[in-house]
Amino acid sequence: MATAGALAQAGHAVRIVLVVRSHDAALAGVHRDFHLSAGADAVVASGDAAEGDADWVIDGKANEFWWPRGGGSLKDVLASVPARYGSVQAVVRHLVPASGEEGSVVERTIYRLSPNASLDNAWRPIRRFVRRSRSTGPPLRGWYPIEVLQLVTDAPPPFTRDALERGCADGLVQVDTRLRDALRAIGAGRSPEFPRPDVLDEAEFALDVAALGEADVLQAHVRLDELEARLAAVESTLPEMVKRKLRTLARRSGRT
Amino acid sequence: MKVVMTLIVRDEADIVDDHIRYHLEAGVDFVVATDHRSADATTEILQRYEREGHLKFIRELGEAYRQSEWVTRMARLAATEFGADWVINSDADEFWWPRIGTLRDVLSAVPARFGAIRGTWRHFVLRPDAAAPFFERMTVRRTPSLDVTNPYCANAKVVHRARADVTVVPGNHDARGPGLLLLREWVPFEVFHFPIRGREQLERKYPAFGASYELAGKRLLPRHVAAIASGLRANAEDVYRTFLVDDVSLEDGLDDGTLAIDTRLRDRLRGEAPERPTSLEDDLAFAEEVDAMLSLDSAHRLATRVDSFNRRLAAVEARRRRAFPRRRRPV
Repeated sequence: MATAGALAQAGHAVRIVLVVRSHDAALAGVHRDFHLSAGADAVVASGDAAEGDADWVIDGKANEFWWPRGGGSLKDVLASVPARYGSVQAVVRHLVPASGEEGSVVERTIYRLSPNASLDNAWRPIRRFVRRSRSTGPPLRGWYPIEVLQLVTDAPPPFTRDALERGCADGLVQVDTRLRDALRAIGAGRSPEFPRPDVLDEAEFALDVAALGEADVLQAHVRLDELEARLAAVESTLPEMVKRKLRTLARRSGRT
Repeated sequence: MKVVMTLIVRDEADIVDDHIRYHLEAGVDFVVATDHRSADATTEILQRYEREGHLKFIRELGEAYRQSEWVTRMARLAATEFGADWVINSDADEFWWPRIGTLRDVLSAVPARFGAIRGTWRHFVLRPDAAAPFFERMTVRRTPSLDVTNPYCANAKVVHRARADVTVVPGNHDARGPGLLLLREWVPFEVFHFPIRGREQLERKYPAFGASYELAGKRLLPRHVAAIASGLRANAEDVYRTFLVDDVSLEDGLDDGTLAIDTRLRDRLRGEAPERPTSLEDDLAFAEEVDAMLSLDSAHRLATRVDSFNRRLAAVEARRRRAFPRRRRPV
């Protein structure tokens, strides 16, 4: 149980480093500014020495924006995690840009794919982890205090704004202006806001997290199928092997 | 939306009035209650709510405690007789506290394809006996245990959409039926839990519970009830001392983080000012308890068993390779 005293003691002393594993020239500036405003201490490329000084490491991509959900910054979230936990969960949610329009990709990206949609596997919600450096502790399950807003920029679907609006009406797409608004605020020299979600946001978010749970169950089935196949292999070859072993033993005993 | 709560009680006069009042004020529309052989003022309290039109009163006089059967019956009645959209299956010592918004906000927000959501127990510990009501004395919460023989074990309780064919499992930890898919990953309720409230109540509740459960079928007897009933038979004073959190234990528990002061229910029942909004620290403390609950959850146990099976099979495969090295084919 985290006490207010312990949290105050922990303060904001944690150092958070975002390691970017890919590059996107169009997003690099806003990506860096966003994460520094959100509480990261450094945004570095893979292999940078700064990674070694981190208390917490975020392994990110150039088109991912790590968004704290709890009403504070990334630093607030990660500073509060008790030392026995080695990682914190995050959920990737996908934002698609409206195509065929002028303006920066960020300005056009205010639509989030809902897990209600029959999504390509690449766009299903995905679980990611922010890891504590030099820790082998378990993840803190049942808590997703960070969203990863991933801009679908590498192979954007040809979604016009009309198509996206129709998707909203059908519950397959949600309007989500948080990232755009945060980047606008940063562009205007203000700090972005990370408000606590309300009950509707929480229920929508729960749908994404439920998709992770369903994926876990499917994964368990896949693993069981694989284990069954291995067990069948053991069972099918065992009698032949036993016979072989017995023949060998019989030959040996015949020699003596 | 209509929300109906089901309730089984036996000699809970010290808490049941506050329980019903709290939930009616929190957004529950109607209560279906089964009174199992109460000998204190519980029956009169329930009958008063019935006269006021808030409650359907059912009395069970048999000694056997058929908990799951009675809750299932009440949950079905909620659907068929009382027009419920949602049903909360509660015990008198449980107070359902929405973590965000109101109870009705939470239930309205549940996506249509899901039919059940959960709250996780948050246990309030026994404090020294006094004349004050339980909610004035019991403002100390503890971290959950992972030991299922402990009454403060981590666990979840379920709220479900009303169905005429629902089956509520023992302990109200799950509800089964078509359309009752559990939204497992969202835990929007805390269930404030006050199982042990005083020495007299402790010494009365568990032996009676244990005996009644056993009459319904020994396999139904919860392990924590069996453990406490047996302990009380051996040495009631020891059991009482085990659960009592006196001022010295309180100070120690607050220092090491196993206890926390939580006055939310007390303030609500006093009718005092609204609670402060939930903070990140609250979220974290709650997350740790959900983490404990999930460690006992079936989905997690499935993954753990698959891991264990994988290790055992890998060991068999390795032994087989050592015992029967692959033959070289003749060139």
